[in-house]
Amino acid sequence: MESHLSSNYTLADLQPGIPEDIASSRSKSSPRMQGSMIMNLRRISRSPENSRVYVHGDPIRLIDWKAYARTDELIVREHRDEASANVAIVLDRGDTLNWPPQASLREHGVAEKSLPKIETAIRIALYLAYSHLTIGDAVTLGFLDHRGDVSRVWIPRSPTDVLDMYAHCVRSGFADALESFMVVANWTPTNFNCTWWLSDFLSNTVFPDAWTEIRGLSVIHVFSWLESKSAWMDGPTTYRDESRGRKIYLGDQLKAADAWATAMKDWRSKVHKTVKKAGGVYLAIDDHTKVGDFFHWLTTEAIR
Amino acid sequence: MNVIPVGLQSIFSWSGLSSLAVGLAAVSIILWLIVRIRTRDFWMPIIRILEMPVSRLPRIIVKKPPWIPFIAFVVSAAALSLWSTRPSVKVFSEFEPGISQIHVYVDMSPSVSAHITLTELGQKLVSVLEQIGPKARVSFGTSHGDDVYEMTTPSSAAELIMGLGFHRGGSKIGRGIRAQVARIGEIDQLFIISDRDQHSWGGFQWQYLLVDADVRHVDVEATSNREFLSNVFIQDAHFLSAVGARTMDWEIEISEGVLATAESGTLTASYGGETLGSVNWDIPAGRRHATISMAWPSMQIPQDGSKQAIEWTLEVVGGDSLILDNKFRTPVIGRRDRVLVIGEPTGELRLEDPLSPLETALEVSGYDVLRFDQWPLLATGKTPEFMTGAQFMIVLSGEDSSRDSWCPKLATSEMTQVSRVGRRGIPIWITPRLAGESFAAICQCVAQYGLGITKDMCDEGLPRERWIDILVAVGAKQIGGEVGAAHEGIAMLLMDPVKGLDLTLFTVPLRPNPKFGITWGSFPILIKRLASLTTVQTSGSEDSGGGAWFRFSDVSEVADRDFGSDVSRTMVLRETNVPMGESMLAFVAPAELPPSWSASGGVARNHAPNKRDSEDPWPWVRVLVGSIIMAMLAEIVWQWRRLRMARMEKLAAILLITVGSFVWENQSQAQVHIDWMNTKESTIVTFQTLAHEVSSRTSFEMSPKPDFFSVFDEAASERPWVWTASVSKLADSNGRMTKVGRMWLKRGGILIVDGPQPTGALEKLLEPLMRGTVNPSGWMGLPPDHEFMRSFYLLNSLPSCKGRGWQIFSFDGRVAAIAAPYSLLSSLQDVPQKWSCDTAVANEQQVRIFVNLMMMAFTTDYKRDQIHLPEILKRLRAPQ
Repeated sequence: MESHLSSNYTLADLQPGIPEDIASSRSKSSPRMQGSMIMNLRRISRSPENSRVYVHGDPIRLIDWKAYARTDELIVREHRDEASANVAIVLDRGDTLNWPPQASLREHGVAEKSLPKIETAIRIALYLAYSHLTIGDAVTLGFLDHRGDVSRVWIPRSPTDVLDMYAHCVRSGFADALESFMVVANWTPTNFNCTWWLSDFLSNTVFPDAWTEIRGLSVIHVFSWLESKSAWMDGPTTYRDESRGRKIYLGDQLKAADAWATAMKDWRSKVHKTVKKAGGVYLAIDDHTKVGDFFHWLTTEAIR
Repeated sequence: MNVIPVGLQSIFSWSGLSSLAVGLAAVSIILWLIVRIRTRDFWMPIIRILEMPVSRLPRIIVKKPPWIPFIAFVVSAAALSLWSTRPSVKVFSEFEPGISQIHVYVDMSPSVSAHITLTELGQKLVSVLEQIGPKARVSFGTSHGDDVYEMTTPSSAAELIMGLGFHRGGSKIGRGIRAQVARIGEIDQLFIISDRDQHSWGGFQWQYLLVDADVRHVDVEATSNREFLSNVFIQDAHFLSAVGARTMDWEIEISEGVLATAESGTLTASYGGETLGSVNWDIPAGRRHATISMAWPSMQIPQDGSKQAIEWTLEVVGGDSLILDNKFRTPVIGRRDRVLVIGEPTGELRLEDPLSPLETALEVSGYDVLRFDQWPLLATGKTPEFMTGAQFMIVLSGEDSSRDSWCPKLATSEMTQVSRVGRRGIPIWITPRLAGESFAAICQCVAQYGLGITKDMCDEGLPRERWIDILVAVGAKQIGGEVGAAHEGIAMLLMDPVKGLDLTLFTVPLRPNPKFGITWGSFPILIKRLASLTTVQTSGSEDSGGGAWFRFSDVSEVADRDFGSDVSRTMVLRETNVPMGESMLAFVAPAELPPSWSASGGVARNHAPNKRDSEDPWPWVRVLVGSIIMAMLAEIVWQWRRLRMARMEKLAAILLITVGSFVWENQSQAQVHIDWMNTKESTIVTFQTLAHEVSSRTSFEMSPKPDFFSVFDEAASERPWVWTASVSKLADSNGRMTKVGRMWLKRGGILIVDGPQPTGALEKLLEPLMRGTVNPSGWMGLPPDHEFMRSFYLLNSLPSCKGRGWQIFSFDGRVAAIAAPYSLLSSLQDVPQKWSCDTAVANEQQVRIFVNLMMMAFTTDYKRDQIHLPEILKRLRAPQ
């Protein structure tokens, strides 16, 4: 059987709990591993994170004798335990996330499967919510409105809630289904130990001021694969910016000499820099991004 | 009757303008629809935040130039233009009688006399002066000197010219005109009556005169009725024998200018009106030089020191163009000169004689010594008989009491008479008898000539140092020793040109003495050097060389110099050897000369053209604006990188190259054609095989079809090479090459004569090319080391045909024509013609010869370049 991490699976196929999160399986093996919050208190451990010189009073049995044999120095290893955390998942709910409209795609003869960006974003959000709930975190999922505020939230209580929501989404459309469960609430960014931010940074305030206050920020820049690539564009078709209606481009022109790819790269790196400045980590994805790549980013950069 | 639908009638009843507007609107709606249908809109939200290029065309971003460098550039460009050029407009203003100045310069150099007689030159001047008329002040001058004459009547001017006659020296028109114009001041028009002689016009940048004046050339050759010029002249004469030998051997070089035709004649040498010898000479055709030896007994030239020279007279059978240079004079060389030595011997033995080593040294140096013990008593005012022919005089001092017996008591007039040239007196050397003795006696002797030395300076027991100080004080010059250290010298030279005194006063005894560094070995050498110094002083450069003639390349330059009493200006003008440059009769291309003047008139006759109006500001404004535009263009080119091409540079470059290569397609192809001059065009003759061979062996592409043409006209002279089976097609009625053909060859064309020609036809064809100074070689057999033999293949030999070989004609250091003994093209055709030579030649050999010929014609002597040497050596060493 093919693993979900194999190259054929993209984020368009992502479901809560499938594929199984590496972190959730790990947490089950240890009573001390719970939640995604890393405690500040360090503890001497055999599965070490850090090492320090032995201090009188440390348990002798935990001295790293092999290190002593090598260095003639008494070394002990330390580890930090995990605790359950307050996790926020913020979803941008701008119009541009509904792009691409499916009718328009058919008209242009785009044969390949193409999700609206909001669907990709919700799939990721539900997956993250499910994973966090599985390892014991508390999760709050909020929509970012056009003012840049999070005024409506959905708080799943268990992983089962997330699975129910996913089934609901598949039945009656992702954005609408999730929105129908939202309740009005006060949103204080500092209440959360860890925040996931999913947006295309087009409709809403592109770079919220609140970012500086947010702890554990991970930004996922959501694209449609039609935006990431220009190969599908055709010559006589014009592409325009509907919001202002002034700029009209020809497909040829966008494709020519990587103009599109370069412009996109610049745009991504601009967002990346801003996120990095706010102390967050950044990933640009589209619905054609491989699940394996996404997991790699999750395990190497996002979860610290 | 036309049937128009009712609905349309109303439309047609509208005015034309409205229907036009409706039509346009309809068309635009259709176009809009087409555009709308064609372009399918698609909303892409991401575009709003991406900085995408709007247009496919390069977006020009106007950037402000860096102002300071820009302004500096404009200012410097303008300044450069304004200072280096003088912008002006041509204004044709009328000559104003009495104010406008016209100058006529008459070149009377020997080369002119080759074209025109003196009378004809006079008539020419008259005709020019008459054409000018009374519209302005007219002056004229000649190449004789810098004198400027005011014209009264044309005939009087002509008389003056004819009175002066041609001069024998050369002339430099540039220098003469500069001097004459400087005397006149400003001139409005200048006429130069001259031929096109290279020597006379050499170095004359007449264009500088155009700033103020109009320059016209009146060509005497234009009216000359002499068809062909040929001139034989004596280039040089060398004396071969030793000084004092029994015979005098001379070697005379005779040269031929213009044409290398066969010439012969007689050369006669004479001295003082008596013939010394006569010899016949001849220069074969194709050669330009002949060397003739002449000899006569030394006795024939008397040893009298007279001023006469050897005169060489050249007689040419059939005469030649330039008669002036048939007389040539050289100084008498090899005659033993006489030296007068006066000094009393001290004993009977030769060794005891203080002058004995001196006599020996003089004899060794080629002098006859005439020795007297004492100075004889002379009648005043009469040249002593024994002094005749003496080059210089050496006096040995004696006691002061017996001064009369040794001290020369010549009166100044006598000195001058015996002197050989000018005002210089006979050189006198006075030497002390012994080292360390007092110089009082010599001082007393010198004091009698004046020269600032008085008798009271000559104290008893005057030591050497003091004597030298006195001499330095009166302006004597040191001989020998270091500069400025007169005490280290051996003699002091005291001269007075007015009185004709030339005294060399030795401060050491003139005999070997180790104390003064004079050894027995070096003594004769020293004497010879001193004697030559004395001789040079007396026969200096301004001297006419004892009757011999010098060569003056520009006679006007020397004509005004002071040559003293006996060398008059007329002598310089009439009695000089004609310079070689004039004798060569080489020509300047007419394009390099000022525009020629035609007697028929035109604007030049009545107006002062090129008279510029310096008040007009427009030219200056135009120059300034031009500078600014140029500066801006330069700025734009400099800023070109700022013009964004929307990453289209590569595509644009490929597009440009593609388009360019299509547009200039025919220029980018290079193909060699066989340019075949033939009376009838043949379509059957093709060179498919040869073309294939050529393209596979070399980097050349050859057209298989030859390019036929029948007449050698201007269009034909665009061809790089021309093949012809018969030279008669290129020749005029006299068998000589046409002018177009000659120009073509001079410009770099190469003529390939493909087949045998009648005897003499080749020589006759290129005879006109034999003139000039570009070293035509004449027709000659192809040397085995010629570049033709190795221009591509290394050929060992070339096939001959019926005893005839290959011939080449070099010109200006390159091959201008090549004559094959058989028809090479016939043997290389696709359908080869019947082979007419005795022995068959392999086709491969023929192809190689063709390839070498082609390489030589199209790449000339590229293998002379050292860079190819390693490759050539490699091929030479490679096994055959």
